[in-house]
Amino acid sequence: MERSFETQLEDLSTLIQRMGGHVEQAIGHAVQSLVDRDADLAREVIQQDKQIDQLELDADAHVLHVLARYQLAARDLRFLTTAMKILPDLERIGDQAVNVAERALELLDEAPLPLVVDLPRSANRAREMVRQVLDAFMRHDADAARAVIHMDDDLDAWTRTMFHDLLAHMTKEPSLINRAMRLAFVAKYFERMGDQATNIAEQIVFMVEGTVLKHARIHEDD
Amino acid sequence: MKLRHRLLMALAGVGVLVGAASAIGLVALVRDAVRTAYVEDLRSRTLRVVRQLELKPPGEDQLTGMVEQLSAALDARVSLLDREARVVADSAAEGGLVPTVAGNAPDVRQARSRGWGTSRGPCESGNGACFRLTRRVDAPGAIGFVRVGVPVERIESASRRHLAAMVSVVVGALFLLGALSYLGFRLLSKPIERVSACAERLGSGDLDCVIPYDGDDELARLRRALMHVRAFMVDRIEELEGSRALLDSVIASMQEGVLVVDASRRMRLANGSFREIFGLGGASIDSRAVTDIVRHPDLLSMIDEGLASGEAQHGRITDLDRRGRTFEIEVAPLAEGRHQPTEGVVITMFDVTRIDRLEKTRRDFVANVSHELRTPLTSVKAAAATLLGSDLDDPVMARRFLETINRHSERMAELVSDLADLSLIETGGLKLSPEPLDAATLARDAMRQLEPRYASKQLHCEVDMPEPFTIRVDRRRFEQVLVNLLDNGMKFNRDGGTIAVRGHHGDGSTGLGGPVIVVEDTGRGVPEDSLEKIFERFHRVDPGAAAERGTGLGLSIVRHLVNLHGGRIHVESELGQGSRFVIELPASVA
Repeated sequence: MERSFETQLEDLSTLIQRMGGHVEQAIGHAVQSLVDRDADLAREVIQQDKQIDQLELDADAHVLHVLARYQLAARDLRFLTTAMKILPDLERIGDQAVNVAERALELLDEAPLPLVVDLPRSANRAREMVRQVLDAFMRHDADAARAVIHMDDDLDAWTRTMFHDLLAHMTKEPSLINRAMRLAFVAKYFERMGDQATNIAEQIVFMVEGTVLKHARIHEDD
Repeated sequence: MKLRHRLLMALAGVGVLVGAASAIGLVALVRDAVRTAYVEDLRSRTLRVVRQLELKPPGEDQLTGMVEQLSAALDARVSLLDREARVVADSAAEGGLVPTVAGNAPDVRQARSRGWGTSRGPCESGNGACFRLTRRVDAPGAIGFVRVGVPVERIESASRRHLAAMVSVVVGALFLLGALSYLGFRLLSKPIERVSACAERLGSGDLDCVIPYDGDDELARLRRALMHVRAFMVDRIEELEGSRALLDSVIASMQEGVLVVDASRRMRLANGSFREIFGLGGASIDSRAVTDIVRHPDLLSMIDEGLASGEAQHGRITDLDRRGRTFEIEVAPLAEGRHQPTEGVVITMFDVTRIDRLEKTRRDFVANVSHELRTPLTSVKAAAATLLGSDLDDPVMARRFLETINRHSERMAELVSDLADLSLIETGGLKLSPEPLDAATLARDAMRQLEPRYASKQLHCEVDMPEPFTIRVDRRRFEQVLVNLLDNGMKFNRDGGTIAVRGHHGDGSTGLGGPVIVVEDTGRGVPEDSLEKIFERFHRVDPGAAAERGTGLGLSIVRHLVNLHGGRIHVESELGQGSRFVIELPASVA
């Protein structure tokens, strides 16, 4: 039996929530595997990414199905197109968690290097942004989405500081270059996660209010 | 349709039937009576005329005038007939007599034989039917018969008039009956309507409807029964509300987060703790999908598994909320009876962060104690073994090993003594004997005790407080506080750094209002997330750095002892710059 339109939208939300849950967990596990030098956990993150990809495919197919099947009101159309746009962002955040886990595995081959930079802080912030942006999506809360956009500023600043510190370490101790470079990558991954969460947040503001935030930001930057 | 309208309609039906039946009977009856009365009247008047004729028979020439008179008197057509039944005079004959033989008319024939005769037949004028009455004249004379004729219509109209009067009386009576019945029905149905309205209100959940039920008739019994139903409902609902309120408050007051999810994965109930964990505030969860709120993969798969299998699920999740608490999760199927698909699951989330930490502390404590004891013990054992296997006559060597043994035994003794102290304090067995003492002297004594140990670090030690600075404390225990803090400050200080004990009298506006003593160092400092934890047993800011091992109990003992003095201690620190341990004492200690 064909499920009702409302149920179809709900099913889509559920798929996105489940995907988001896996992404959130992947970020947490990835940084934990790095800090604890836990190869099993890192491999689990890489393994779990298949599930994220599958959920993205399912959600995508679901969106297309609903678009093809129903005459949509503007509000529902915005919800669906937003869902379509945030899915790849969410999926990429998952990929970046995988990248973190891969770097963690590579670092396992080398001697332990004390975490000279505060990567867990960035990881927690990225994860918190993903958490809050998904909450904002589920609650159709534009203010919460805007708050996420502001959270990105710290993350960018921390990344710059970490690059600077890692560079200083590398110049002082060239034997660290190999490992420090990987940490720099990891810092960058978290920064990218923040950027993607920001993208999602902008989409949510559009979904709720119908205003395009990106252009406003471009003008601000001018 | 209202009851009274139905009754009224029934009554109207019966009225119409009875009215129709009686009307049919009445019409015949009335018509007959009216006709009879008319005929009798005509007969008696005719008889009077005939008697006059018999007394005084008219002459031939008087006939025409006479017949006119008679016609006027009887208000009818009058004919005078001779004995052969020939018309000799007729009131209807104008301009001359029309001699007509009427001997064949039935009324005339009857009159000839019986004296009276009546008949009905077409009028001579040709218009309608006429009634004729003929009387034989028995006196001698020319006139044999008097014949009177009236149109039947006249009789009929008289009977119609009577009928009309009667019908209007009957109809009036019926209407009066109807109106009275309506009032009566109304009087009867009003209370019934009240009862039914009340029953409807009760049915829709409005229990405020109260109706009096005095009397002993059927209606009163109905009202009484209804009020009993109401009282029963009120009792049951109060009972249910009471138990529900109890259940609600039990669930609401539970420390554990509680969520009920039905078989279609919709949330049915969530308590305050659950809302707190998921940052929901007062948002309604009613019948929303569980995935609106929950997306933790482990929790969702426990719910899925619980719903699918109908079996309880257990698990532990460390990253459920943003505060990083650890939760023990129980997913229990709603027990609607076994061996059938579960109606839903109850999820309870028990915050075990504290228990976890305590458990970890306990584990660490045992591990630490054994480690701390084993390290010096190994050294003692090694030194003793070496000593036994070597030449005891070499006093220099022997002394070196004995010194090692001595040093490590001291360390063990210290640890055991710290453990004993801690146990004494924690079990409440330690009693203080406060006496007025000079804090500066106490501080200098403590520094002197530690100096040999840190001589190599070339620390700059200072005491900065008004002198004398008298405080009422237990000499041994407060000295222990200062020694432990200074030991800590010296151990983690950089070479050539400073360590200072400062003191000032509180001005009553800040802290506890009594003396404040600060132990300050220029060491590596304490990270923010450890500011509180360093007072826990065996907590180490950097577990990897084994260089400066102490017993790991010092600061824990310090906090306990300061608390025992009625004071409190906290640490302020900037990483890489140093730390300030601030002891605030109550005014009573001054």
